[in-house]
Amino acid sequence: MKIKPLRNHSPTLDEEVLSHEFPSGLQVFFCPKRGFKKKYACYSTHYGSVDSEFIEPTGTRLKVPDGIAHFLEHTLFETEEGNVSDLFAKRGAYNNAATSFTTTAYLFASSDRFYDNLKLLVNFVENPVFRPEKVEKEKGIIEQEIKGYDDNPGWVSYMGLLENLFEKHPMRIDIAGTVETIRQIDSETLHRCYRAFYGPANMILFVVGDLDSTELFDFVGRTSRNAAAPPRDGARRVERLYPEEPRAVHRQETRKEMEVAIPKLLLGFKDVGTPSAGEEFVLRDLSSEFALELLFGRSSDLFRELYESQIVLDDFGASYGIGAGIGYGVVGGETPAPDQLRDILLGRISSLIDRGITDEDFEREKRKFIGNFTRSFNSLEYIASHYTFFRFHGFDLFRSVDLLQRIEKRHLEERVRTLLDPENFASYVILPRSPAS
Amino acid sequence: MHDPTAPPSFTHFYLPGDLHLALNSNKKMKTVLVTASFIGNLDETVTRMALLPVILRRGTRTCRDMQTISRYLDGLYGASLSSYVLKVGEWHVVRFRLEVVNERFLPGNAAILRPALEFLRELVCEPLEVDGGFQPEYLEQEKANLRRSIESLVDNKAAYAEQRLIEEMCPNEPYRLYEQGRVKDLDGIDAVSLKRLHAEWVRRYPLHVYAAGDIDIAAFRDLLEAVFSTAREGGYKLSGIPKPVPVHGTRSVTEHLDVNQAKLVLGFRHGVTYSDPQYEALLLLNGILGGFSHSKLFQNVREKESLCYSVHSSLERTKGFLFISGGIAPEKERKALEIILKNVDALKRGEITDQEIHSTVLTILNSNEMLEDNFGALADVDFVWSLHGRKFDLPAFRERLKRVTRDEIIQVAQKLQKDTTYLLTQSPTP
Repeated sequence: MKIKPLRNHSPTLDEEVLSHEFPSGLQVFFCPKRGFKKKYACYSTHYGSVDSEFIEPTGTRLKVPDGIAHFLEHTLFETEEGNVSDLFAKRGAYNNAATSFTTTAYLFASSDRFYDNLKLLVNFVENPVFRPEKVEKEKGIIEQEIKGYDDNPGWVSYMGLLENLFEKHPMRIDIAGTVETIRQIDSETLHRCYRAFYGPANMILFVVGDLDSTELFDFVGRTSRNAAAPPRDGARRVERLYPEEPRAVHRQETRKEMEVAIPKLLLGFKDVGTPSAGEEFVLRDLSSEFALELLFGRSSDLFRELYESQIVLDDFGASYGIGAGIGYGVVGGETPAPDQLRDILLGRISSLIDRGITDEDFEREKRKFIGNFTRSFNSLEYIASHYTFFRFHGFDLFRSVDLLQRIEKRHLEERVRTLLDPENFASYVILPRSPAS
Repeated sequence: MHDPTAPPSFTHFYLPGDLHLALNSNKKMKTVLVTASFIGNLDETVTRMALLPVILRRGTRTCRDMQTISRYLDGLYGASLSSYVLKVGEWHVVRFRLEVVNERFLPGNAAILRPALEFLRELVCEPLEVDGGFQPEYLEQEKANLRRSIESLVDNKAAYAEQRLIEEMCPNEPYRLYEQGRVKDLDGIDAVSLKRLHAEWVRRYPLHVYAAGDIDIAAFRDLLEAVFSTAREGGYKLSGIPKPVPVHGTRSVTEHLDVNQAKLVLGFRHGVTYSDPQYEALLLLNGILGGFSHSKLFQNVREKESLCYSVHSSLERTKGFLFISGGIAPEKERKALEIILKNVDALKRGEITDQEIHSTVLTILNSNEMLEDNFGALADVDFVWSLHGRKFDLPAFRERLKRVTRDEIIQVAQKLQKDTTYLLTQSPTP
């Protein structure tokens, strides 16, 4: 069968993406990059650490140990022919994988033998091996990975803040789980998670590089089991279960002593009932980022004041995260005076809300967003990961610029008012270890 | 005729006043990237040099504070301008990095490139001045920030352990100096003397400007010359490539902090630099030992023994060092060290399979070819190689890499002399 891919072209960015959805539901995307040496492929499933409770396609309800999506990522690397990294290395390719809250991605980059590498990628992701003895051994490695994160103040404070913000939602769980939860993982449960979330209709293969599109789509059609799988019509899909998250934050503050030289404060605000897909999802994401940047970014009055009075350092900033029906804004960074910083930030929020956003600030910030977005397209990795992420949420990355252009001041003002509720915040403070302890 | 499949390269212009321009025109980038690197010796000026990139960001003649600077750059469609120091062997580099979106992707093809370049020059050359010095409050703030930044190196356990190893390993070599400087120097730095150093630095220290993007080389050369050649004198005496220092007996240093994971770092000397005929063999040696996930260390320490999450080796190619770093469960430190050393010895004895060589050559070739899409990284390679008198010739490099023999790798392995071992771990339980 000759595949006729759909073409999505952005004249603004001078980029195009060709796509094809196989009858099985597997979606394959290709972004041609003429003249580039690097060829990059990323095979992703819409499955991450938040998918810890679900109803299997067979109808059974399952609650799985925390950290299992990340554990599964590690497990897939072990094949009958050995560790996948060795196999890629033998072909000279770079490979990696990453688990986030909502996605797991397997990727490689190479300059030659692309189809050898693509075949390996597709095969190892589609043909897992679950051997109990391998699973046991992997626990030692992941335990060390978790302990490495435990010494990283940036990670500890970020995950700790989410744990404080959310009471029930699995966004509060560390992506890698804990030493205790990963000990409960066994090959049977891993296999069940795989069956539930690694089906063709839940996956996207994204390829970027200087390749012939006909050859590529044809190759995937011949090589991928997921591409050749029977149509999904009528088949039951996995149903994700996310608990109802209350509006109020779970815990207002945690203070933790670590081996650090400078204290750190993260202040978090909570969004519940956020759109889970489509234009609304992206609009929520963009306008929240935009609003936070206006209020707390390097061009803001607040940053200037805090930096010049030495309450914050160069790393101070704000960001927004969204997924699985909730969202959160995070503000903060290293500070010699975490309590003072928290009080100032909370004290200022209401006046920032009252003052509104000036046209000048709004237009300047919009230019910056447009410039940054265009610049991102220098990176093949960015194109692959963001196009995929947006696709999983039912949106076309190329349309982000149009959406950015359509954002109005009132969207941002609405965001500031709803998200930044000075009565409903959580904080996480890291302090240098006191000499006594 | 220009061969469109040939690897990219830079067109070089050596202008009076130690001003070196290197330009690349390509169709791959959505942006124009310009880096300006001033290079000096890593010496007693280390802390003052580390202050320059931060104090210069605080205010210029026309944009008198950070907020005004930031807003100006935002208005140029988020032009990104950063500045930092880096260490290349025993040289200290102050670098400014400007990236702007190519005008053809902007609404109405907004003209932002020239204003952005002119602003870069102003930021570097014309800081806000008060009474012949930097703005004193800004300087005091940046001194305090630099102090914190030096002190907070410990927050990143792996980077801290590596710097501590270097200090223990090179007590009498300039290389021991941390590129961010020393806390003890800070009190002695005042606004006027630092401004005097700035005036000399901006005129005399060798300046290398790299630019890449969809640009016209001749026109861009003229633009860069117009922007950067004013007030250049040159004449700074840059030190040569440091002579290898022999190992004076191996040492082990252990320090205690309350950490969950111990960090082990080993330092070896081999004396092979960028311009050495053994350079390619050294790259293979490092790749086989610990540069990649197929390497001996990763396979034998992590995969076979589950002793750690991370373990890798890395190279310093001006001084001629090899480092091995690992994140290890504290109770397994002895075992891990033993296995790491066993793997180094195996290399020296020539226990290298064809497969290991083959995989490593392929991996390095692949990443070298992919470099052709990354112009910031390409500029870095050209910059560092040219400092070592090596011509930037990727095809020649690839040919040499493919021809390295097992014996040549073993010869480099036998040059590895173990110097210092540094361990950062938990306090022993009482």
